[in-house]
Amino acid sequence: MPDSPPDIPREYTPQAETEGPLLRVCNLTKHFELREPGLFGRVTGTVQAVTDVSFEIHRGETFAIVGESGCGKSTLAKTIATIYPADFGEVWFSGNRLADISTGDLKSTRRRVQMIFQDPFGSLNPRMTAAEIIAEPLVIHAMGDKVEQRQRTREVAEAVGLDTGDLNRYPHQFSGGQRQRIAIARAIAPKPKLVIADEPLSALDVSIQSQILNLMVALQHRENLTYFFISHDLAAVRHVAGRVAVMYLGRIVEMADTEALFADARHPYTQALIAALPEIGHGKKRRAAAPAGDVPSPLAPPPGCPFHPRCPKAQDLCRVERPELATVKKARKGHLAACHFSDPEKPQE
Amino acid sequence: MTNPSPATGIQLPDQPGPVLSVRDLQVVFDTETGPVTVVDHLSFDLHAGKTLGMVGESGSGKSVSALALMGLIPPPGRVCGGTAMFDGQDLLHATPRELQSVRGARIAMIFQEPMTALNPVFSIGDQIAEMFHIHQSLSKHEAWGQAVAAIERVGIPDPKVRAEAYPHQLSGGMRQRAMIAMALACHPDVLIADEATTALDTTVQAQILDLILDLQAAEGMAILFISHNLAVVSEVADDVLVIYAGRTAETAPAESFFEDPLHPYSQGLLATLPSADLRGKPLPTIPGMVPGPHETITGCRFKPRCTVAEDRCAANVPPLQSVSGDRHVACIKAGNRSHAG
Ligand SMILES: Nc1ncnc2c1ncn2[C@@H]1O[C@H](COP(=O)(O)OP(=O)(O)OP(=O)(O)O)[C@@H](O)[C@H]1O
Ligand SMILES: Nc1ncnc2c1ncn2[C@@H]1O[C@H](COP(=O)(O)OP(=O)(O)OP(=O)(O)O)[C@@H](O)[C@H]1O
Ligand code: SF4
Ligand SMILES: [Mg+2]
Ligand SMILES: [Mg+2]
Repeated sequence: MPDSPPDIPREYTPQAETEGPLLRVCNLTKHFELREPGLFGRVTGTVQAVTDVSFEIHRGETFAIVGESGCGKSTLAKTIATIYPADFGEVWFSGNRLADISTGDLKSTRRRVQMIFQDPFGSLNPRMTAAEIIAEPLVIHAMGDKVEQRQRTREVAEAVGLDTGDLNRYPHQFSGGQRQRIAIARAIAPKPKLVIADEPLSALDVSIQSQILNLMVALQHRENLTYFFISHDLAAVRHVAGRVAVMYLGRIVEMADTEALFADARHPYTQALIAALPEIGHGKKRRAAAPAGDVPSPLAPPPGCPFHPRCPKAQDLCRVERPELATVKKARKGHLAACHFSDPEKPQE
Repeated sequence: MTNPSPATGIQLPDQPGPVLSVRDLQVVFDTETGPVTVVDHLSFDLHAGKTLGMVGESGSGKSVSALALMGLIPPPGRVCGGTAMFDGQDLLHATPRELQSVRGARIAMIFQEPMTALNPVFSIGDQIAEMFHIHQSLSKHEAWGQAVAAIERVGIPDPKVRAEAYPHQLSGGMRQRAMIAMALACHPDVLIADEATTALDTTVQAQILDLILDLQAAEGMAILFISHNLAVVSEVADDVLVIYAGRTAETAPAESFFEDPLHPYSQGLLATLPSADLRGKPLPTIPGMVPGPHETITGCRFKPRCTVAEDRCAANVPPLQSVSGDRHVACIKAGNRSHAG
């Protein structure tokens, strides 16, 4: 495919289990219809949550997604995890197209793709004990007998730093951070290949965050895990991710190696994200100015570049033509951005 | 307020008294294995126009302390000691009816988990309008208009359409913003923000913090800002309170705290932050975990994890002592620092 950028997979042929990327997402699109209340309510709008997203995740890497609240990160994750059906596009896991997989295989694929959900409270069944919650995927996938399941439960509970004496307590009896550890233990219990972690750190305090980050890295090496890591915490992303994609209004607007992204961000939204990163040592009220303008609506994304209403660099071209995600000039291999002016040396009008 | 037990900050003679003054707050949970103390002799003051940042490990009792002030401790928990004076009234001993009139209108809280605080069967517009309806006796129609305006203020696009959305139809960050809109609706005197911006990206976080701090500057709201994110706390707080296992470890003006944390736990917290030069390497951690509330530890509760602990640390619970001016530390070794320079 000489004329398509190397990192945007447009077509994909099945490969053997151990070759090629672990996950390949092609042109994935997921929209939601908003309806008036009631069973047959009128459609009042369509939320364009995820539009034409393509990327791949290599075996053993940590791929991170960052972006605006509401830009579609969780929707993307849930669509990949087959919790939501896609409207359009394909997801390939380990060389198999997810839609083609027969029911039996889908179940085993589901075991190999585990998700840590964003809301650690809402996603834990309040009527189950911590031990039951952690063991549930083992029961669903009939992994081992009762004794082995109990053993694995204790093992992962210890691995995430839960007190095994507390395992017969219910979710509401744990603090927010402890609940997040239950969610992580549950996800790693059935020995998955890909762990989709949707904001796994946001409920944790810094010292536990660093323990969990270290734990995730250690588990990654030991169990050859691949992570799809969603986080608002740029410092954590920078620490663990090999590559980062930045989403804005349902689309990927920049993708690069982590170091390249932080050192040489080319999309103005990425630049704003990094500039707004709070830092110790500035004191009260000396925060970087947030980008001006209203956050646009996923119900009616602006024409042209979706970022143009807030972009300090926007030109007339930006208001009419949407920039494609393309390789940026004078950058490291695999650095993509969707901005008409991603090349800093190209003169602006 | 006449109680002389250590509080945060010093009282300048011309400074008006605190808006909310908490002394010796104690919260206990009755569990199968007996009562466990989750918050122990916690004292702090909130001043008009000022922000107290509360930081501390998961499970250290931050949310429980906040909920205690709101009269919202879930059973089997109960407040079993202390006072919380607000406008001449002790919140900890107020009747449910008295609390009802304060809560939401004069003291508002942004809850850590929006899904548990928002009602799933009402649209977010209805829930915010309800606040205006109850507390400001606006008509249903006016209240709805105000709710839409409040949703717009927190930066949710399409406020008119989104007001009709149910909580599950919003992204995590939008739910968070809906809750912030609800908390700010009635221009409270005291805002308790429990992990208010944790679910937001840095640009929206900056917008929300601007919104909250602008409101504070204009209306003199006192804020208790609970957050795991030390960098955010450093950018919003005037004073910092570090809580460990239900007790105050350190209180200090924010600036001196971040420059020179005194309690070994505070020092550990600041050292664990990821930084550019640690990329790819294991992050420093504070070994071990916060003791469970049922674990009995004599003396300093941080001792099992403390790298500089000595035998005498186990003798008594270290009292919160004044170290220099407006700094207080609950560590018997912290007082020695002045000699070390
Ligand atoms: N079940 C649903 N029905 C209708 N709209 C939805 C649904 N789930 C998500 N949305 C909408 O899709 C958009 C993307 O939401 P999503 O939860 O994927 O965002 P996000 O990037 O994860 O945000 P955050 O960082 O705040 O968690 C939002 O506008 C949201 O309101
Ligand atoms: N219903 C309950 N029953 C028993 N113990 C409880 C209950 N609710 C909370 N606790 C305990 O109280 C302690 C303090 O919890 P709290 O939620 O205040 O922690 P936190 O400091 O807010 O933590 P986080 O940063 O994780 O939100 C925890 O050890 C928790 O296990
Ligand atoms: S294309 Fe134009 S509006 Fe969009 S990010 Fe680039 S400069 Fe800004
Ligand atoms: Mg999300
Ligand atoms: Mg909490």
